[in-house]
Amino acid sequence: MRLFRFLFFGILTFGLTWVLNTYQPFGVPVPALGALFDPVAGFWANADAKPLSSNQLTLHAPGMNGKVDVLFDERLVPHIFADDFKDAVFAQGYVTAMHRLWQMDISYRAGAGRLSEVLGERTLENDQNQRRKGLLRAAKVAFEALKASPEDWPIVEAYTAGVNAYIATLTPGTYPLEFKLLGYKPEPWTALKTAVCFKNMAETLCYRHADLPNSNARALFGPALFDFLYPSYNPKQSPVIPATVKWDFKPIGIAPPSEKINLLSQTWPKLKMPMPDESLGSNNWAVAGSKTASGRPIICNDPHLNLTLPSIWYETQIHTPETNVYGVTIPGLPCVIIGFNENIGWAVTNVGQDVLDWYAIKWLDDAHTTYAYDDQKKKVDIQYDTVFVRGRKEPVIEAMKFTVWGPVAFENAPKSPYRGLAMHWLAAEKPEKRAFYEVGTFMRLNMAKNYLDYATALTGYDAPAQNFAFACRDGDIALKVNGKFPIKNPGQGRFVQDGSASSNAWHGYIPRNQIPQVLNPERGFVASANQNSASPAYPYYYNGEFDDYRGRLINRRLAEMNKITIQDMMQLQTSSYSLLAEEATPLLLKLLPRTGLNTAEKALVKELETWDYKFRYDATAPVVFQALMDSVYRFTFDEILYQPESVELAKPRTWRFLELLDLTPDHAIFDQLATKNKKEQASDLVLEAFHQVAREWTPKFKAGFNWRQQNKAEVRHLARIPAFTRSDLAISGYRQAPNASNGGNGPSWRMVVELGPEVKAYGVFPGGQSGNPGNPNYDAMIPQWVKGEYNELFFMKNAQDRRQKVVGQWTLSK
Amino acid sequence: MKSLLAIVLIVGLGYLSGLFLPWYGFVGVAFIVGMLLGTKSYQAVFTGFLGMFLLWGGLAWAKNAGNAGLLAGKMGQLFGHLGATGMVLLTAVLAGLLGGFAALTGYSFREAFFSKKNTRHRRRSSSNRKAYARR
Repeated sequence: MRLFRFLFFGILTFGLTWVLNTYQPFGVPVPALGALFDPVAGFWANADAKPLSSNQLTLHAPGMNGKVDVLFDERLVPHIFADDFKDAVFAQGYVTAMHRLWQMDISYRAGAGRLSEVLGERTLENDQNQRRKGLLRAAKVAFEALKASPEDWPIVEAYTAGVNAYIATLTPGTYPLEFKLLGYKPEPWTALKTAVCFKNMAETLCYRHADLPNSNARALFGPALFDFLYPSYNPKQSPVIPATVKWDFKPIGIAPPSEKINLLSQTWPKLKMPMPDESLGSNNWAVAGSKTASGRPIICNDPHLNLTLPSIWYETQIHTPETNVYGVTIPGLPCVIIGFNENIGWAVTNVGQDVLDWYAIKWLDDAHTTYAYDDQKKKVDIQYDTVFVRGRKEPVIEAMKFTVWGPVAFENAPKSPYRGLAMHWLAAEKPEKRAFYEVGTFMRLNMAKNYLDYATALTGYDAPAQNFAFACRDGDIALKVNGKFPIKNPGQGRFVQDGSASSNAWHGYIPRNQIPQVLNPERGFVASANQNSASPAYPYYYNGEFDDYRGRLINRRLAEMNKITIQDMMQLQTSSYSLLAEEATPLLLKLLPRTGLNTAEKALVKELETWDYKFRYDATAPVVFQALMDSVYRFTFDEILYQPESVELAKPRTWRFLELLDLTPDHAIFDQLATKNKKEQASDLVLEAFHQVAREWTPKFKAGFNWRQQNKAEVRHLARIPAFTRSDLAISGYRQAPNASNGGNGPSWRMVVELGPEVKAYGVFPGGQSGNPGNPNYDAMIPQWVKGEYNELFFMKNAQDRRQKVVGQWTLSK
Repeated sequence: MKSLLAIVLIVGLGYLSGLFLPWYGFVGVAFIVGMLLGTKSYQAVFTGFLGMFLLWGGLAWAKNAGNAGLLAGKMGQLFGHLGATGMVLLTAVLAGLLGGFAALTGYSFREAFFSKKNTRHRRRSSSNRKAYARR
């Protein structure tokens, strides 16, 4: 009896202990609760009592050459003082890992396709896609190049060693919170992981493509109507490089296309590989001293990305004998990515040029192992990749087929001899052999003193192509649309191409001295906001997705502004005024017949008529505008939107939609398919849409609905944990306004810098330096960011500088 | 007296084990204390529960106070929208339950292997219990 009692309680106690120490016991989706609630080493250990763990600290880290002082200011920005740039980067790796280790780990895993190893089945498809895209393979190619580079490699090595020196100090109790929640351990950082982080950036910024939806639309409408609905250049565009710039070089001549087969009528099924959001974009500009109140150049940047917590960016200052540089970096990448030093500032926005093309593959056997290539029979290169899945005993083996073009993403298109699709992505190409690559580019920018240094630094940078704006203390301003750009025949890469003809390959790359660029333009400013790189007069063809409203508005504003102050620049960055609204609202009102409107509808008309085109969070006019635009668009392009989901069609650009409303309001495109015996014109659609909008929204406005609820601005935790997310933010902004807040996307870093004998720099990002949800610093800057307020950046002159408070003084030495 | 000693030992040794051993070290502590100082089933459960409730609850309370309830409030949202104080209590109850079971197991272990048969009847009178304790 007593034995039985003992056994009963013994098994119960042991069993309970086991359950509380097991991640997802019996498949129940909970962490190991005992370990998690342990007040010594569980989540309580991450409930930081102070933003910075220790005010004074001396650490011995093997792998350094000398001694580094790291001073933390009140916002926990590390100011790194070193005698050697490599040691500074080592310290950067150390402190970045201290604040952001889990973010680094999960971002790397997401890119490399290793999420399922820790998250299980739910991320398996994502991992398989990442492997099929060849992102890990591309990172390995880049890693080999890095390794051979005398400039990049020591920097990547030092950064890696710094991250690992921090990881070596960890115990299960000091792991970042998310490791505890997800029940896994940090593993060492490697140079390959840094290469993956660079490829992640490329994936976010230059992985978008429209070849399939364009081909499908061309097949549906025929070439003439396609060209009418989808013109490639907006005549109102104000390109990045002003049209006044003359192209005084002889472009490389290429042979005209020799398409062997006609793929005109071929449609393609929807790919299962998700693309980054198209509403990502950025603003940057530099104004010359001739236009500023102080007579000194000002440079500004606000990259718009999918906002996350822990924050995308991490602020750092690096002070060495060569340079004193301040700015932000992405955890996982060494050096400062966007920033300024005592002499120059640089700022980036994405280039929307299409560098990912699809090729139709003609299989020569039923097993799809050979394909036609000119007159040859080519074999696919089959590579096996292993994806480990938590909870599975056996890993998933992923067989990937590679052609001369790149990975095969799709093997079985119906009804065509060309049934496969292979992807050629610039960012997966092997880089040409040279002295330095992307890491070297940023290191050189960090140390640059003048235009020549900046121009040289950019030659090492391939992808993702960026508009690099530049300003120098000596007065120069410049902008280079910089990266590796393929030379294409007109129209090449807009549609799926015949992959059996080698002549359909890209025709080499645009020489660096022929990329679109400008130095000290007469207008006194350079600016970019993801619009077309250059006017149609630029000798090389390019296609892609380009902004049509932010860039034009910013160029217009900068042109009309004079005696510009830092405050003016902040106001422009945080402006919610939209050029799209300015152009579209009067047009819609012009088309709206005013007869037979009821009182509620008249009220909405009045609201649009008196609107100042600002997307204020507490206003209702933006909601009416957006709803009306969406409705009219849906009615107009019913031909496209009512197609089956499985076939994706390109959607006409907003600027073209407005142009059609304005210039051809009686075109057949406005006739609705659903009404057989009536032929609608643009004004019929606007009226119908207006009735619909009034019916739907009037009651909601009475209940207090406004733009804030419609925009749903939020900064989401990387693992989408609602408790660690900041939602329902009262921000005034719009994706087609300079302050491009759009749901979960928005300005991820705002920076305004005036160069001169005394650098004046301001910045803010939606989050904090610490990535720990248990640290008060984690999301501390979000209220400021929402309101459009900036921090004065503490650009320390030396380690003794105390113009702002220093809360921590650490020393790292060998 | 024994109960008080048991609670003090569980809190003290449990704290030390937390510093040097994985979190479940306290299960061993409560087991041993229950085995050595347990007098009755409910007394073992009670001392094990209260000792661990106080230890984890106290430590969690201190962490929570230092952090102004920031993290516990967020974590509480993952656990049925408990507030920060709720998370402190949940921590305490979790450890208490396991501590109680562990001490009871320890006590049952002694009863099963180290006490003579039929002692249960004799131990019901207090004089016998003293006699038992003297042995």
